[in-house]
Amino acid sequence: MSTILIADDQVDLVSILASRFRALGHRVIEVHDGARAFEAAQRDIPDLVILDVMMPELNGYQVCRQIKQDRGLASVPVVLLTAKDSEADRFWGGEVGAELYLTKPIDPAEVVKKVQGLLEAR
Amino acid sequence: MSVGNQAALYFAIVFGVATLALLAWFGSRRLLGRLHVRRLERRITRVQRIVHDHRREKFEKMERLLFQLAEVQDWTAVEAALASELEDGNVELRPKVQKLFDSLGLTERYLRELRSGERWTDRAAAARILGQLGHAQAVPHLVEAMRDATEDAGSVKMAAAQALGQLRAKEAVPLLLAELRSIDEWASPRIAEVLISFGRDIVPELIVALGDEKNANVRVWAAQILGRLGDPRSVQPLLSRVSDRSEQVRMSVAEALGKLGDQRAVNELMMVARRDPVSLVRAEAARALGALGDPTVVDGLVALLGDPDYWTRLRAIEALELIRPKDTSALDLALRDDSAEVRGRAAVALQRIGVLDQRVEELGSAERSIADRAHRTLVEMGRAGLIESILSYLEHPSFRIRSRMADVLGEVGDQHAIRTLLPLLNDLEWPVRVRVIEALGKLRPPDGVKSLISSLADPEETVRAAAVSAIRTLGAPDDAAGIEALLALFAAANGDVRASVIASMGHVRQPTVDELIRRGLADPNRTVRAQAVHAAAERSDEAWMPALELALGDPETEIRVKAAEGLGKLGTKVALETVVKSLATSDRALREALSEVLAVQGVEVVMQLMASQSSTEDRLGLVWSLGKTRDPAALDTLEALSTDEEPELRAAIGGALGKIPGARSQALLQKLGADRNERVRAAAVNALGTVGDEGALTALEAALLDPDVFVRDRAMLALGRVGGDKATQILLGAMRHESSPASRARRVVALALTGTTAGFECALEELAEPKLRTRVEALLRTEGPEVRTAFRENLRLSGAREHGLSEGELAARYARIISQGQTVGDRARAVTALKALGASEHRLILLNALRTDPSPEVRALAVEALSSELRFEEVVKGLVEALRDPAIIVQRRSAAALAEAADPRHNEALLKAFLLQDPELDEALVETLARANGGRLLLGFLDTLMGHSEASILSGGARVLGRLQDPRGMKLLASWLRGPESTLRASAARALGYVATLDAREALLGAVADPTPSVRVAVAGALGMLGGDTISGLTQLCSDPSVSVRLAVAEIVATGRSSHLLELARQLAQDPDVLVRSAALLAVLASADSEGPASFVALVSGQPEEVKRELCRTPSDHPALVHTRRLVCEDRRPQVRAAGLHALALLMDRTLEPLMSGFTDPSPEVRIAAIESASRLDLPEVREAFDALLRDPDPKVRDAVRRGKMSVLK
Repeated sequence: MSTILIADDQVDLVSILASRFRALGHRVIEVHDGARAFEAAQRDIPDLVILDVMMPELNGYQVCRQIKQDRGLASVPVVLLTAKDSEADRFWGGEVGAELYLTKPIDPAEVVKKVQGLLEAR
Repeated sequence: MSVGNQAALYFAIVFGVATLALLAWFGSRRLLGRLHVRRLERRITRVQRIVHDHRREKFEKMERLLFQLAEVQDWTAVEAALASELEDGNVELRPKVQKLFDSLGLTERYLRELRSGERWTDRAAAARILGQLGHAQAVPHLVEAMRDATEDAGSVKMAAAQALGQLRAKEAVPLLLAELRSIDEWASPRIAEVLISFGRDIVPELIVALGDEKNANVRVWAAQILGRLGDPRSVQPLLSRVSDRSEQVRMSVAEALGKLGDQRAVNELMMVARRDPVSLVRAEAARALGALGDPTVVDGLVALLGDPDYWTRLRAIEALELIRPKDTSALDLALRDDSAEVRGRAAVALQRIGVLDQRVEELGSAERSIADRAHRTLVEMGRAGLIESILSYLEHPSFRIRSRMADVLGEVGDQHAIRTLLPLLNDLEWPVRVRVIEALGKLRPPDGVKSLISSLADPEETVRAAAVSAIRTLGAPDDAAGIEALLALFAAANGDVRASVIASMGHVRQPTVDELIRRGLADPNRTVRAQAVHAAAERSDEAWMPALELALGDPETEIRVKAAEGLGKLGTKVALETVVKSLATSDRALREALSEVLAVQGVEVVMQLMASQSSTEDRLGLVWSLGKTRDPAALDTLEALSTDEEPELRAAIGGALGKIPGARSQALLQKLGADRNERVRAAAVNALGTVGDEGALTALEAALLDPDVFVRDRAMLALGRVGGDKATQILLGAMRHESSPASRARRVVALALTGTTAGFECALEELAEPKLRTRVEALLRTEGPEVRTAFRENLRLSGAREHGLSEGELAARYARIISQGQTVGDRARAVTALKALGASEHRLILLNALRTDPSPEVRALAVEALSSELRFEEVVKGLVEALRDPAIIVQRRSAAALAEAADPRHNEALLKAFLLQDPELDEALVETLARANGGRLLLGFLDTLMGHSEASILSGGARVLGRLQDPRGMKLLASWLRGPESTLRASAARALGYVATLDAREALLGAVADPTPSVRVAVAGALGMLGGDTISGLTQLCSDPSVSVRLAVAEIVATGRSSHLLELARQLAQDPDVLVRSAALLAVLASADSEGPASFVALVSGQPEEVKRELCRTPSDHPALVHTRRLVCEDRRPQVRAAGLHALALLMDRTLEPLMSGFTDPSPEVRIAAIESASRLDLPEVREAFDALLRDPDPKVRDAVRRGKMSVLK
């Protein structure tokens, strides 16, 4: 069982993903803005973090960079979820250290599959 | 029986039978009708009994009831009975009754009746019953009935509305709200009333409706209903709507917030009241503020009294009335408003607050200033319309107040007061009688002096004198009795009465009055003598000259002056010489008056008098008089006298010239300013301050270095009085020369007098020093009233209750102006003043001005003032908030100010400001962000930037990267260059031009084929900046299909230095577009290649006329022209210089310097080129040069000159 942190200001999307992960036996932490995302990551040290890019307070890039610069969290894989799908956005996702960059609209099943893959690879 | 009789009989019988039959028919119908009604009533009663029985059992046995009702077999009776059941209104049984109606099909019937009943009574009844039934399904039908445009029966609509009100079914609420979407002046208010009757239960639904972005009508009604319901849950949602785009919504929101009475709304309502663009919204917000009653809004409401819209000012007054501030001075000011309605409303407000009563009581105050203020306010209130209220106070128990009230009424000038004043001529107290008489003198009663004659016999002398004076004003009595009464008074012991008698009779031409005047001239009382001499002077008769001459020796100055005026009026030579002789007096006031008397006679007369006077004293007086004529004809005489031996006379000349404006006066004064005597120089400098303009500044500046300190001081003040920016600069420079406290104080006064912003700021900075302030105050007391007035007005200190200049007082004054000032100019100056006094101490006031002032100019000045105080967190916060200011000028200044604070914490706010897409603001934002995010902070900035998707923000970010020239941004820029958004691609291209790495060049070369021309233009510019091996890209762009791209390339190659670029220029010189060719040709000319000018000339020669014409439009500061001129003047090679001259000629350059250089060039080839180039210019310098060149040693040059001269002539 792994701990997954999901941060997105779209409450419905977070609920859908969380229920899927819980059904697989994972523990899920749900937050809805960037500042709380980093606080939760520091507090709960998840096994994987899923971040929306465009969130209030801090955006996903900023949170991802903070996670990667934190000694205790640097090895935690980060998946970025966003509607921004330009080459520059993907490029920057890599620059801030994200392992995976997925564009919305997402297929929850696909997300679950990719996250599982990352967790198994850890 | 005859035939006729038989016929008549038959007719009668038939008629009788028919009548009987008709009667029988009507009778039976009535009988049947009655029987029918009785039967119906019996059945109704029966049904009612049945229903009543079932009601007792709470309609538990519904089926039985239905069965019983069916047995009645009369549905009319059933219906009537059940309708009366509904009247009962038993809520508990309502569902059962509804079911009963449904089962009987009555509900459906009534719905049908409502929709399509033939008679309006049926439709109205159906609506009423449906309302009583309380079925939610009836709601749409009822609403439709209300809205039916064909329903012209108001009763039906009313019944439908009332029915809806009775329904109270919550499920009806959304339907009712939906109906409010349409505008229906009849239905909508009634639907709103229905919703109100639901009470606070529907507040959540109303809040949702308030957020309906698609329909403003719904938001308007939702706001109004929420206001009526008074539920505190409504406050926040309403506050979120104060900036709604619909003015109707904003008005309704303001009204609702006022009704809710929640203090949380105060700040927002104040912002709306001061800054909403629509006057009706501001007015409504003001009214709401009054309803809230928060005393902290008083300042803001006071500021609203300066609103340009009178309705807003009116509402502000109403609000102030409700709040009842202690300080009502602003309402007093409103009594002088331009609008009569506003004045009237202010008066009413003051009355209701109790100020009228208070002022009336203050009239009786022993302290003069309080009584005077009360007097002024009451006069204004009277003029504003409160005359009847004021009249009632004439019965006040205090005689002091009655007396002063009479005075007020006299000033108000309303004739309605006469009727009430007249009885008071018999008031027991004589001060009251005096004031009443004076008031009547001003009001001019219709019966003229008749009402006042009785007062001539008043036992009190002062009263009698007042009567005389009033009679004089109204016109002396023309009857003998009146005249006799007045003459008898002259025997009275009281001097004032005697003086008044003369005053009232002085104009009457009778021997008895003449005698009266003569006696008056010898009267021991000076007032009497003054009146007598005035009367004598008014006679304008030479017979009175001896008396007037005698009066010239009177011990009283006033009488001597009057006598002199009298002699002046006579105007004879003898009379005037008498005046001249009196000029030698030490009494300055008399001297002034005497010289004025002479001046009135005119320049010619004065000059004639001058010619006959030899003594210095007499000539002095006449010089003053010449000045007072203000006639330029006096200047010749004054100039002649300006070299007189006597310095006192020369100084007087200076003073006289100061009264005659004009260039000649100014010139003469400047000469006097160099006089050997310091008094003369001081007088001249002083006079220049009055008549001088900018032409006098040089002389005044020189006078600042005068060896005499008095002259220097007068020069400073004179500069201040001349005013303007140049005078200010001179005064500011004088700081270096003057260090004595007295001179510094004078400089401060002078700077304040200039009226310029720089002078104002500097004066205030100096006034921050307490000792200097004391000196300034002392200095002002010694200067004339015009200097004091100008000083206070320029510093916006006029009318201040505080008369001192302490820093605290000044700051308090300016702070008050900022919060209450009604003109933009005043508030702007106040902001500037606080900045000068010290922005850090007053930053909170300045921040408040930035947040709340309605004028963008004032807010922008506040930004400037705060820009030096970025060490304070609240200042930075305020400036960041100001990035969202509605005025672009404020945003720009805030962005520029934040550059100094350069803090990455503000990145988000700065980036969002790019959304406004204002070029000047963008530039400031780029500068600020670049300063804040260099070095280690760059990545954090990019993380923030990438959280945005708006092209304008990302473009701004690209510009920042370009400004930072940091290679770490390269990849991001390159990826944007390949992105879908063309604006962003162009910004990225431009930024890459600064990054200057190999990768940047590669990326740019790859973008040469971009589909959007504006991007390719940016790429061309960037390649041009990079230099190096970018030629392939530029070459490709030379054949670009877009003219703008090729033009950009041409302009870029003009700045380059390589031969490859020159080749490109030559290629573009053959471009199909005229502008591109022209730019390319200029690039050739501007190239570093020494053959540039020659190539240019050769290439131009083969160009069509339109290209040549386009080249002639090249601005004279174009780099190609500047470069060529330099070549002509400095290049070593004559062929280059000559080619340059030919090139300048082709461009129709009119600069003379290269030509002059060419005319004197050592090379004949160059001289010839200069001649050929200049021959198109017909200028004196050219003609002169040509003439000189006719003597040139080289014959070819001389030939060229001749040809040149010929072509000029052509």
